[in-house]
Amino acid sequence: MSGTPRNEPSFQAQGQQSGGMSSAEGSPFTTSIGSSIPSIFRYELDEKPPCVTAETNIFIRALQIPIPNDESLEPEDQEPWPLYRNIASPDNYMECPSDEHLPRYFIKKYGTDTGTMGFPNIYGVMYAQSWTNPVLRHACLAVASFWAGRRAGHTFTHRSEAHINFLLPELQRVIRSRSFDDGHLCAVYMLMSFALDTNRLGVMQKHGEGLVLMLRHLGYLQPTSNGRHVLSDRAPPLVIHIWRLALRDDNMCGFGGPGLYKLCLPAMEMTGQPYERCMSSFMDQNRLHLRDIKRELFRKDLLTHRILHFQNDVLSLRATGAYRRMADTFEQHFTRQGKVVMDEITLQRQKISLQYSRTTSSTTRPVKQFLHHLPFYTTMWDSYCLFIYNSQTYIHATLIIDPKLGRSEKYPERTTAAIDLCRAVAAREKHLSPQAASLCFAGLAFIGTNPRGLSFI
Amino acid sequence: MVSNIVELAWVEHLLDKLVRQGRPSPGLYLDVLLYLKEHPQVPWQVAWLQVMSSGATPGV
Repeated sequence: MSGTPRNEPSFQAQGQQSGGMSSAEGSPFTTSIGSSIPSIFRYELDEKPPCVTAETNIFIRALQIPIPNDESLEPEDQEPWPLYRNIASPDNYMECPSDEHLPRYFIKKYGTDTGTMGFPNIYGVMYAQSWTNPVLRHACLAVASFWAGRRAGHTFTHRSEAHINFLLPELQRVIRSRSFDDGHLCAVYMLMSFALDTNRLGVMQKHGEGLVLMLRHLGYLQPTSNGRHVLSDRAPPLVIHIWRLALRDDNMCGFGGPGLYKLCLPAMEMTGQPYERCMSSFMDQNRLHLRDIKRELFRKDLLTHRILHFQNDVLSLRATGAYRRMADTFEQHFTRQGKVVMDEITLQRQKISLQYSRTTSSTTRPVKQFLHHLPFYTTMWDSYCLFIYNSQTYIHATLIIDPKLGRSEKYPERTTAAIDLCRAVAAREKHLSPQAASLCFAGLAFIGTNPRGLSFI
Repeated sequence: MVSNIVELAWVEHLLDKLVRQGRPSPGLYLDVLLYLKEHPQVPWQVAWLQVMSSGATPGV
C-alpha cells in the first residue's frame, strides 16, 4: 500500500520540480475554465484558497450583514444572524457542512482504498485542479462520500447522489458545447468508477464510452496504422492516469464477454511510453523500487485488454454461419493469432522470472506452500502479483482457443500455470483480495476430468 | 483423491475464506466455479456472464 511520505513535497514544489506544463500540453478547451495543470500550483492545499473568507468574497461578507428589525425571522434567528445565511458561494463550493472531511479523505485515502498504490499525491493534484472546475470537484466529493461511507460501513450515501445531481447538468452542457477540458475527463472517469463500485455496469459502460469519445475529441487517443490505438504524447500525466484506470476497469468487467459488458476502450498498442511519463510525475519518491513492478503491471493490463478484444472477436466469429461451415479453418486461424499473444505472455514470464524469481527463501519468515508443490519465492514481496497475473493471463488465453475446462491436450502448460498461480497465491496468502479473479482462473484450469480417467474423489 | 480435485478444492477454500472476511466479489468468483461444477457443459464465459450479471443491477 502506498504510504504518504513524511517529507512530501508541496504541490507548489512539485510544479517547480516538473517544470510545470505548457498550455499546449493541456486540452485546447481550457481558455475559459482554467483547469490546465499550471493552475493547480497557485496555492498550497493546506492554505486557505482565495475567495473563501469574508475579506475576499462578497457573498460571504454579505452573510455577516444583519438586517435590523426583520420580523419575518424567528427570534433566535434575528440578530446577530444574517438574513442571507443560506446563500451559497458562487459555484456551490461546499454545500453541506457534513462534507467538510471529504476533500481530505479524497486527497489522502481515496487512492489507497481504490487500489491506486505508489502515487500518493495524485488525488491531491486532481482535487487542486477541481478548484477551478466545479464539475470535477463534485465528482471527487461524490466518490469520496461513497468510499468514506464504505469505510464507516455504509453501502451508499445520499451525499454522493446530491453531488452527482449537482454536476450532471453542467457536465452535459460542456459536452454538448464541446467546451470540456481535462478536468471534465477526470470527472467522467470518476462517474465511471462510481458506477462500477455501485454495480451499475450499464451506467459504467455509458460513462466509459463517453470518456473514449472525449479522449478522442481532445486528441489524446489516436489510431495507428494497424487499427490499434495509442495515447498521444501530449496527454497530460493526470489524463494518462485516468486512461490507465479505465483500462483496468475495462479488463475487470470484460471477462464475461460482450453479453455482460462491451469493452469501452479500443485495442491498444503495447507501448508503455505514456505511462512512463505518468510515473515520472506521480511516483512516490520513497518507493521508486516499485516502478519496475508498476510498469509490468501496466503491460499486463495492456496485454489482458488485447486478449479480451481477441476473445470477443473469437466469440463473435464462432457464432457465424461461416464458422459452422469451415470450423477447422477458423480454429487454425484462432490458434495462429493466439500464439502471438501467448508468446508475449511467455516473454513477460521469462522477464519477471529473471528479475524476481528465486529458489530459496531470503528470510527466515516461513512461506506457505500450495499442497505438495514446492513453495514459491521471489526476491521482492511486491512482485508476487506479477507471477499471479501472468499465470492468469496465460490460462485465460488458452481458454479462449481451447474453451474446454480443466487440463488441455492442446495447451498442457495450462495446468502448470494454474499450479504456479496457486503457489504464488499461497506464498502471499494474507494479501489476497485483488487475486480473487486470478484464483477463479486457476479453478477453471483445475475443473473437469482427469486425463487418467479418474474424475472424482 | 485425484490431484486436480484437491487443487480445485484448495482454490474454493481460499475464495470461501475471502468471502467470510466480508469481501463481496470473491463470492461471485466462487459462484462461477460452483456453477461450472454443476453445469460442466455450459461454456465458461456464459457461466461468468450469468453469475456476474446476477450481482449487477440489470438494465441500470
